[in-house]
Amino acid sequence: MLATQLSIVANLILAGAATEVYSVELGGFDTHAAQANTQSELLTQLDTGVSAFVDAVGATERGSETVVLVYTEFGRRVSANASAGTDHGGPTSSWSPATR
Amino acid sequence: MPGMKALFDDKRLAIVEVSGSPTPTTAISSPWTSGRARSRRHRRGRGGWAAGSTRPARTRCARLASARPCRSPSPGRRSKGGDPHRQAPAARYRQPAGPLRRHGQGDSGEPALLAGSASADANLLVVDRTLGPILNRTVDSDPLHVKASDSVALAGSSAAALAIANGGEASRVATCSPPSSASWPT
Repeated sequence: MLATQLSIVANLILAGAATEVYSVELGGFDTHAAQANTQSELLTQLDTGVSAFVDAVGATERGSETVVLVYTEFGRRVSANASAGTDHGGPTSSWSPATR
Repeated sequence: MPGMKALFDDKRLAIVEVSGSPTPTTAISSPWTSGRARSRRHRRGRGGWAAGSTRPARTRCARLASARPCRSPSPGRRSKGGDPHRQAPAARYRQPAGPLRRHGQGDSGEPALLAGSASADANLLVVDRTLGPILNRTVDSDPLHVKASDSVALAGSSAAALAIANGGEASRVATCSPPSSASWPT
């Protein structure tokens, strides 16, 4: 679960660990077929995990020192393929939710 | 995505568009997560695509809402009207433009995405100034990657997590105050 990974990171940040950069991952977005259901579940995980992390860290002094970047390895094509999925594409987007 | 929407509505979510890989089968993020810059020239920009066989071009970004990615840049570093590119230092967030545009052909949505994102360069500068130093630092640092498989063993165990942060030296583990469990989805 992404939320659990982020919980560990939040623990480390709040404990004052010296590590400056943490990374966590959520796989399964390579949806070449039947994208709708899979993507919905994954985005729900992303939403709950990141939101909880932002809330937890943002409520502390470390929130002003923490930057979150959500990015993906690959973009997806905008148009669906014949399998109700999408193939790799160039453009994608990165998100940066503010902890404060 | 109600959580992200709430952040978006609260102007606490910045969205940088067209930040993907110049080729659809290559991950732009690998140099960030590996902590290993592959060569000196790759260290000049995030993602390792600052230099290569394709001439780099500025990455565009579009503001979908009044974005505030973190703290605003200090007033002294802000662009004061006019063309932001003329007064601000060049953004370091770059990627080759050619392949990206080529992949956009034949897909009606992607050219529109590119065109729309081209209208908000000023916001790119704000995002770049805020996140740029941090992202560039990931190329030189050694990020701590928390894997999904770690989660089972480490869930709720801040001591073990701290041991990892300290290179496995449990004797250096300090007391940790985890965030409220009520905040976390189960």
